[in-house]
Amino acid sequence: MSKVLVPDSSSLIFVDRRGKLDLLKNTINKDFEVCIPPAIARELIEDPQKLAEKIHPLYPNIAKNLLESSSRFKKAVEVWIEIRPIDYIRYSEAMDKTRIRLSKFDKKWEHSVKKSDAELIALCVQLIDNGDEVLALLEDENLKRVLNEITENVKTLSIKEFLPGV
Amino acid sequence: MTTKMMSYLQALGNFDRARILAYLVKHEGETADHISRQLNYPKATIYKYLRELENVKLIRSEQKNRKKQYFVIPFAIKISHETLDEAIYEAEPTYLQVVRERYGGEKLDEIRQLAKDLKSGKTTSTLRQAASKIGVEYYELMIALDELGIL
Repeated sequence: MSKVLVPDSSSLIFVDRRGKLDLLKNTINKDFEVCIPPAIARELIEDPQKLAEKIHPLYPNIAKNLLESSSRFKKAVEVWIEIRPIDYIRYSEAMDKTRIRLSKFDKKWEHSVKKSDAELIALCVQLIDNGDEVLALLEDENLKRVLNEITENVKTLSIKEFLPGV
Repeated sequence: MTTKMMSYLQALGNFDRARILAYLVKHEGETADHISRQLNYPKATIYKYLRELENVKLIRSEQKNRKKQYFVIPFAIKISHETLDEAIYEAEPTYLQVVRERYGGEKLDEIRQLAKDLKSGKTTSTLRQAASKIGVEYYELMIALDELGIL
């Protein structure tokens, strides 16, 4: 049984903006594997790049910071954060359940639910089924609530609870 | 200093705010009510602009006989091609300013409201859904919420 940490992008953005990504890496290195689903990786690497392109003409310094953040995450997924693919066939039920539950929040169709929310929960379920012990780092209380409804076996913490003093 | 200059320029870049400031130069100690009548702006607009001018310390207010009076704080802005360039590169805008520029003040207000709701546990959707509902990108909502001390 492995201990796996599944951080949401908000937790990682929080840590990175404080220049503490290495602290997180060093804190968890011995105890946890770190996994994120593909959609979260896109949020951390591709989204800031696209955003930087858009704002660069007016805000070159902020754009530069976004690109640097994207590079740090790119390096992190090469070294210590694993992008774990979702077995979409096997875990389509978990993703559907998540979508149905989340779509009730804002009274929209299930297909409008963001992929990252559904993938994050599906990955947690997938890891539990693999026999792993899973700790999810979530800043989003509503997402936390849905995760706990779908599986009781995942422990959840906010980044400030996990890394006090950051 | 340059940051202060940029905040002055931003405040005065709006004609209505500049007009209110110019009015206060000649009419020290006026109340919002009075300015509203004299310049023919809705009261809510006057309060909003006075608050913004006060935030950047172009004006100050004093409470007298249950009425708030406004006074101009003397200021001077010297602009040259060199100081402007310096000001733009040294005055690091926050991402909240970027949001205001990209989407307008209303989106910023919605983000501020979301921040309040998150603090009081009133939200009923995930942060990604909230970003979509407000119409901003999730990544930039995260940065904005971090700047507002919510993350």
